[in-house]
Amino acid sequence: MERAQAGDRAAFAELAAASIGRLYNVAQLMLRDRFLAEDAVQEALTVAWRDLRGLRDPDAFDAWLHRVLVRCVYREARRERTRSARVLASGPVQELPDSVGELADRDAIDRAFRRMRPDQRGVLVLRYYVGLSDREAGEVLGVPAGTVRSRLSRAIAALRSELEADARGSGLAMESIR
Amino acid sequence: MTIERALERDLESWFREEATAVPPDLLARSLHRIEAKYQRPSFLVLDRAPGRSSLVGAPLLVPLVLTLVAVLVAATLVVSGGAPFVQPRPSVTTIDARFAPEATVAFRAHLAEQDQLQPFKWRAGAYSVYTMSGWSWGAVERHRVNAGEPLRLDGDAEGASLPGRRRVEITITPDGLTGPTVLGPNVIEAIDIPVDVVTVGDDGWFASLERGQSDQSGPYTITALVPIDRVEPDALTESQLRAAGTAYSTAMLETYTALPSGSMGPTSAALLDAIRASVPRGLDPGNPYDLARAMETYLGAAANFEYDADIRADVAERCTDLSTVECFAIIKRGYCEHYATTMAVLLRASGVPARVAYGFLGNPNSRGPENVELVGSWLAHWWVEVYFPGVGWFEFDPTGSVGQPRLLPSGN
Repeated sequence: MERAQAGDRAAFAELAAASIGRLYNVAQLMLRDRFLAEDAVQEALTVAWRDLRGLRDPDAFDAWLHRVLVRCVYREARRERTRSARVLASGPVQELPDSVGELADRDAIDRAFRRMRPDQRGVLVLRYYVGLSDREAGEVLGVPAGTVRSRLSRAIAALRSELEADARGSGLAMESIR
Repeated sequence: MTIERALERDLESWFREEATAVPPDLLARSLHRIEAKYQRPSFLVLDRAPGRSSLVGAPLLVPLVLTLVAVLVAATLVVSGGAPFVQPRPSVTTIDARFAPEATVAFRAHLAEQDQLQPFKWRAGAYSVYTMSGWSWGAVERHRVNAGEPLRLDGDAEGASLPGRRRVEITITPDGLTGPTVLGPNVIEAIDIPVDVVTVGDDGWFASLERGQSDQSGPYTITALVPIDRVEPDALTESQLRAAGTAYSTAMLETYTALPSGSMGPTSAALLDAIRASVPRGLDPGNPYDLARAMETYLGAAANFEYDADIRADVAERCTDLSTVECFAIIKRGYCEHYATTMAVLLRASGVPARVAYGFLGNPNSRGPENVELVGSWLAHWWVEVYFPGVGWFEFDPTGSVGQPRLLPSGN
């Protein structure tokens, strides 16, 4: 507290330090690229510094900061798409799949996750990584809790169908090799 | 368990597995970017008036304070070069892997007519302690100097005893560069505002200069003693530096040749050998000036090292657990932080007192008829200063492409 009062920048630095680990992981889970995630976090903290005065309710700081971050993540995702033809998802499965095991499942989730849109990834990260309730996620995303609920169920359904398509794709690859 | 619930559980554990540690310098780089981009903050006010809730106060901090805050407090000391973001305490910096400056004007420098052609580097501070991942001022002391009084920087190497220098007067007007740090060429003699001189060691070697006022945005005028680098009878010459000798005090050696173990590795040792072998015939690799000049030339040559402002991918791939110098010697790409660190460390390993200076490159081409130099944030720079007994600290700039080595008349 004394340090916060000793200089406004010191206070901001402390707030940023307390949040930066989670901000970084939200960004890298959504973007699936560590360098883009670093850019998003830097941009988010810069925007937070600029706009902090407009925050009327100090208790909402955490949600507000995450909302700023999510916007920056979406911007990074758009920039990445327009910059190169490469989509943020990986391509179709080329290699033979592992026998059923944890590693194969992890790679499958990774592939399927990458095929989802940034906003779908966002709602999944906020719920299943950050652990926000529908209401809290709604504060971050700027939508009502009910909207969060329906986005979540659609995102889960989309993830599930991507996983099933992925499993079918690897099955086809096996067949063509035989 | 439904399929959806199983998937949710898998997603949760996958997220947990994929979560990683935040890069340790990301906070510093973010704060540095803010520092470079914005003027002094006028809005993040800590409102001390009773009854009004402050923007940053106990009700806000309590939910955010983690047990890690004590560790994170130390992290707020880490900045990426330039003026320290948090005041006042010793400056510590980690060496980055990407240089991404903002396109803002840091400050303007108004020079006298007769100095129109001389380029200057604008020095903000000097680091004396190498930490493997970065540099710091070292254990510093501060003392207040009133406006206009001599600063006596760098111990015995001050005042009229500095050979081959002349006096210049420059008015600095800060713009995007905020904070208390006062800039000027090596070496500032006096300033027209009160300042805190930050020094290291009993001999008072320069670490930094900071305004002693609450208003940190107004202009200030410095007088500095700068090397005469034209061919004039009194000019500082290569011969003088070559003849300076190696009578360093114990304190000088302890402070400015100290290196933590592991600073060098096999590749950097081979690099030092190559540099020694590159000293021109007739000159002496054992002579500190000849070694330093050869090192500056060797590192700055595009055939040996390539200037690259973003080496994150290389560093991530090839430099795990390596010191900065070994990493740079291996990947042979980088920017001023890497060039300067490598030169300072290689000189120290050779017993030559050296330190890293930081601040801004000069922009003499921007000086119009008004003689006002425009120094942009993108000119932020690191270079090297080497101590020569009887002469003082003299600068070298090993960075390729953008470096500005300060050449001297030979004096033969």
